[in-house]
Amino acid sequence: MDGIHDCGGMHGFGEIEREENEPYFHAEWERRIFAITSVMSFVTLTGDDQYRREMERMEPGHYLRSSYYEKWLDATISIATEVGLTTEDELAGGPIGPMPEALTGNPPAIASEVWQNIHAGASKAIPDSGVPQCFQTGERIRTRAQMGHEHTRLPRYARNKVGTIERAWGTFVFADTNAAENRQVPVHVYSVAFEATDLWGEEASDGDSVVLDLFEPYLLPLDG
Amino acid sequence: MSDRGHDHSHDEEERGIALRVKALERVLIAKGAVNADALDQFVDAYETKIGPRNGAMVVARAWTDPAYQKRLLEDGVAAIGEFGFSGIEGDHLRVIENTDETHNVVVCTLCSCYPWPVLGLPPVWYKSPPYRSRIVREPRAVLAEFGVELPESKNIRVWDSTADLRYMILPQRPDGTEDLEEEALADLVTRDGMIGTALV
Repeated sequence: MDGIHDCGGMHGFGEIEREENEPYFHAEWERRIFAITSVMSFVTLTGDDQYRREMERMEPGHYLRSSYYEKWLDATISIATEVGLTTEDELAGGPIGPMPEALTGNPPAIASEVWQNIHAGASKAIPDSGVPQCFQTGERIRTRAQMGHEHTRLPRYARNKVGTIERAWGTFVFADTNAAENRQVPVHVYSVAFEATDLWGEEASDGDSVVLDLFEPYLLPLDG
Repeated sequence: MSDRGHDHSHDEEERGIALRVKALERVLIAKGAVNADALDQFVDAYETKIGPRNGAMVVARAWTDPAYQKRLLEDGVAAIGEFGFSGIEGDHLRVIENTDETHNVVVCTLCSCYPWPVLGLPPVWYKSPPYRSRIVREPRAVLAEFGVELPESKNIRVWDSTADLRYMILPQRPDGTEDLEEEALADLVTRDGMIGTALV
């Protein structure tokens, strides 16, 4: 999706503003939505691909104006609504209905297990998928020119560019189909290096480079 | 609009957001989808326990133990796991070494991917469009703004975290620290040094 979130290489966003001794949270509500988003996923079984999809659907002006945790709030309400965990009426103080039937089998996180949950992580690696690996380390590839209108992890600035496979990581859940259809398709992930001059032309310095981790469906053989 | 007027509308907006978060929490607790103690525990973990001190301990170990450094660069997850650091936003950690030839810096241009188990939650600037848009395109200028002046002869490599890998930079050990123990070395290592936007 060619959204405002895909801002690598864009001009005009202004100065990078840094805060000395920045706290992790700037308000109590930021703490709460950070935790709600993380903890709710034990019941909804949604992951970062779904959250990113929702944030990318925000109206571009709102995306830029809103703070980081406001985006979490918007995405979390979208997902909670989608799976039937909340309604606008409930949020407005109306009577609260029961947990949706489809989610009752997913045990919610409990305090005594939070550290176990953190350490367990949420890997989307699919080892031993048996999916053949199409590209090898050292091979040159061209990235696709377009990835359609849904969620993708191929940024605009790295489309239709020639790069070199530096490392293959095995198969992972393909973000694009996971976000669009909740379908967990195993595809290979590669670290691909691009010369900065191939991405940005003469304004870049010779010898500088950018590395992206790319799903195999984004890549084409150079002679293809 | 005056500054006062702006602040006033901002405050109102904040109040609205805070109320909406409260409303969502109330609904989810009533349905049994989240419980309040788990929320508190989650906040406590990321506000008081998981932060850049973790990464600094890893770096200090790598500076003092060449065998550890080798393991760290080859398999970040396993080597970092030796400290007990693992999990969310760090299932596939990769550590990249700064050298005399190349300076490395990390970004997520598409959102805010960041190696939580070793650096904790990211600062606002890392997640903001100005950093995300500029660091991939003009890294030398951005690094200079951060106070990192690199010689023209040194290459810069930017790591854009676009899939499942999360990156931490292993800074070069500063001169004159040969006599320091691991603990004292860890005190020298900054969060930005491990993002690549500072030298140590």
